[in-house]
Amino acid sequence: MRPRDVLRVEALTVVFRGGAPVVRGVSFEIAPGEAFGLVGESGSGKSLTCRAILRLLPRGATCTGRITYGARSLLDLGDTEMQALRGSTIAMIFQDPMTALNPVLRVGDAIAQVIQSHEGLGARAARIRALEMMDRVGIRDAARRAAAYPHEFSGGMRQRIHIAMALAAHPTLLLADEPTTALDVVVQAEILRLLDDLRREQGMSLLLVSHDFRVVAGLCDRVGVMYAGELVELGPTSMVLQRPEHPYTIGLMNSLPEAVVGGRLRPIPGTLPDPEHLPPGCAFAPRCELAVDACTATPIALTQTSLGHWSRCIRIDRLDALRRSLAATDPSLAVKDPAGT
Amino acid sequence: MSAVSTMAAGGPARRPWLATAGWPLRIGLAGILAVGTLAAFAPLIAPYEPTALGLAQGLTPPSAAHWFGTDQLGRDILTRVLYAARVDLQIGTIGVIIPLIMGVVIGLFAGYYAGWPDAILGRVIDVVTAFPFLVLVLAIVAMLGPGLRNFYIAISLVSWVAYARIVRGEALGMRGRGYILAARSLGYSDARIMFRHLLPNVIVPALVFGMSDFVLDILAGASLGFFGLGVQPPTPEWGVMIAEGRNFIITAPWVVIFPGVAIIVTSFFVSLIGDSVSDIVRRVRAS
Repeated sequence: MRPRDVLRVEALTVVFRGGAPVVRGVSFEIAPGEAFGLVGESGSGKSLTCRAILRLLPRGATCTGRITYGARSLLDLGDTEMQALRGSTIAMIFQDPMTALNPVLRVGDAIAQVIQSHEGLGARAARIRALEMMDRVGIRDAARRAAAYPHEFSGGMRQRIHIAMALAAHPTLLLADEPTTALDVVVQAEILRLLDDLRREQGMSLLLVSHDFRVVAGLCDRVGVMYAGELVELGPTSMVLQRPEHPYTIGLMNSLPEAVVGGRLRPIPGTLPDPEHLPPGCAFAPRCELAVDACTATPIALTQTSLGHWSRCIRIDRLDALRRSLAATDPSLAVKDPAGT
Repeated sequence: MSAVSTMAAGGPARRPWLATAGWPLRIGLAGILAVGTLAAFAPLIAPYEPTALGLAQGLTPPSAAHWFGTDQLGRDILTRVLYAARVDLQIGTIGVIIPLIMGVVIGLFAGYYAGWPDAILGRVIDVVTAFPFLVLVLAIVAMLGPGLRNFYIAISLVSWVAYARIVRGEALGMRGRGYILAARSLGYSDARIMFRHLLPNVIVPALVFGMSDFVLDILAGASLGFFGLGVQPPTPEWGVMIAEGRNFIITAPWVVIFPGVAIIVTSFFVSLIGDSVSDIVRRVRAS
């Protein structure tokens, strides 16, 4: 269907030893140069999905399904082949820039190491490339700052260095796991703009994981909404924002403080269900205003509601009532590019 | 070391690390340097031959000719204390370096991989630490036979466990840190992550322990010498000297006092270094 996809995740399931699955049959694909966002609240399985792609799941977690990158099936690769892929072809940036950098490595050396180990450059050439990279991610006076240690930088600057490390070997796919969550709003916007610029420049694909709809909306071409380990909605960002097809997506949008200017913040009642005790049908049903008995009776399939737009809801025809609550909010704020461009 | 000192300086301005060091560290370093120099140049400094007998009548008190007096065989004690420094510093150094390397590598491995390698190491540590340090060293030397080489083997077999335990604990705490995961996401091999990323972050407490272990090893060497299992006479060694002089402790106390003071002074300087380094580490970690 989409033969040119860079990354294809099919029926990915992640299980912790002896437990119920925490990621349940997630499938999506990312085209070359495309930015795809995964949104959902904490514990919905979006970060695990991200780590499963690099095969860096936490101890005790195993995954099944298929992850193909280009022509290669990642879950079938040998450990050394997978290792060679990490950092050079698929790179990842993490949430907390305070801990993602090695405290005893000078930042210039940290970036140069990536280049040396993946591109086989000599120390000198790698150092020059590292300085260029620091310059590119917006660190002024790179030659002098390269000799500094991570603790001498602010959070935003550390995240820039972390990004420089991830992109130093020119990966074709970048996985960004809540890259701006630990930063304040102004810095957040700067970092997101930087990521967006770099993605376009390097023609890279991006998988952005965030709990914040605005972050994903501003950066991503398509978005997947995750709930309790499952994709509940999937589609082009503009379509999902204008006409969400799942009650959870509407709830998620309604609980953005900035999106409800003048209105009332409408949090979703209840909490994320325990993965050990999920209803056989829709996991969101216990918190859903529209839920009927049929919702929890049998598993509900992800069905296409319009071209490229999928939803896992059997009450789609009743969604208008919920969408009206959304209409009272200012969708332009939600759609607005966080980078302000 | 430079990493630690610049962190202590707390800013981009880099001062030479010694300038940021406190007085205890400077005194300790200067003291050890002085002891080391005296030991290195013992043949030039020492007034007599260390094994020359009957230079004077036995057990003469300190005098202008023999500053530290002479022992029961009429050997010059100052000369012997100087020569003994060479042996004792070697005991301290080798007794730290070999177990340090063994312990750090094994502890790093267990702490990084956790799981079963760690469980095995944990049991080994439990067993070895169940025995008192000196008793175990004595037992091994008694089995292998007396002598310095066997003493090093015994020390290495026993005290790597302490280093392994320290490094393992540090590494277990660090392995979940973001930068380890980030290093894995950059495609670095486990060996590279262990030795280039994890090691610099976990080594300092082991080095600090090494300083007190240095003292412990000299004392152990002295104790073994005292029992006749360590350095063999007539080679001068502080512990052996004390052992040989023990019968004259009332009539000729200088025979045991001067080697004893040498042990105390050396230990003091090394402890000063160890304490200052651990202070710096604590300060850096707190900030």
